Amino acid sequence: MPACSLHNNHLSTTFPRPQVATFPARGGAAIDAAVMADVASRILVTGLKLGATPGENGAAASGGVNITGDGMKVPLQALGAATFRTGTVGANGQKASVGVLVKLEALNNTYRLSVRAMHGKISLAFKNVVKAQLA
Amino acid sequence: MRAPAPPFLVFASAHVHFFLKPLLACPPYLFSLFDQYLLLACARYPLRLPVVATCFCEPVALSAADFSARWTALATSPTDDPACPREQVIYESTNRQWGELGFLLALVQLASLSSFEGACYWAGFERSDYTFSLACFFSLLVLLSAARALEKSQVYRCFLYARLLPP
Repeated sequence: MPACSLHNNHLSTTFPRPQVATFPARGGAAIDAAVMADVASRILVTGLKLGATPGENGAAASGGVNITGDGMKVPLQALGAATFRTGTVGANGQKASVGVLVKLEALNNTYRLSVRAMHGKISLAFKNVVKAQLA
Repeated sequence: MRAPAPPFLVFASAHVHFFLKPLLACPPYLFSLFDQYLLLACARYPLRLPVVATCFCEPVALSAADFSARWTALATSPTDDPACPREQVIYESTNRQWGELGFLLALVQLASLSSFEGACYWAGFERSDYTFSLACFFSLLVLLSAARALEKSQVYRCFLYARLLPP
């Protein structure tokens, strides 16, 4: 028996799937590799239940120590992926799931948070949640 | 770092005091309960925040290459790529009479016909002055039959749009 839910303005607002926010760290504190690893472990993995994607050296957070040829410092980076399980039942009887990818970069005392999901609302929500924990 | 001022919520039988501390500052997120009838009783429970957004998440372990591939695939919104149209007209009727009542009747009939067939799940709809749009997981055959049934009344002009789901 299919559910029947008609929500006015349900589709009236669309959000882009890529969501990006740049903001300073809380208190303006400098972000080093230890802080970034702590953020990746406690906020992204433990708190938000994201699966940690290993960086270049297999760590949860990578970068920050490499200096490229033009002298630019590579930002610290933490990656995470998750599946957002919704309560919406599709035509096949299964609950809809939305994949979410999170990329958190840090340079000096500034975070750059990028979130991409299959649905823009999920991207926006994840961006707001992560930003609220860091800013 | 200074913790934000804790909000104070009052319920009928108990005072509940939240201490929301920054995740980086202190790992235990204390939820303290003071019962107004048992003033000496004070219980503290660790609460991991945020609760609402994370209880539906399931971690996914991706390699760096998989992450990069999926990251690139999600670079744009479905409607951002003009080279790959996500929507096209698959059916257009010849009737050209529209009215406010027509929108409602068409919506109701489409919904009822599709629901009766048991093949449609309505996720929502939106309306403007001249169109209404339905978003659903649908059976194309059911929607085509519904549109043709509406046309028999010689009142409605129906457009059916097929919107491709993201890969």
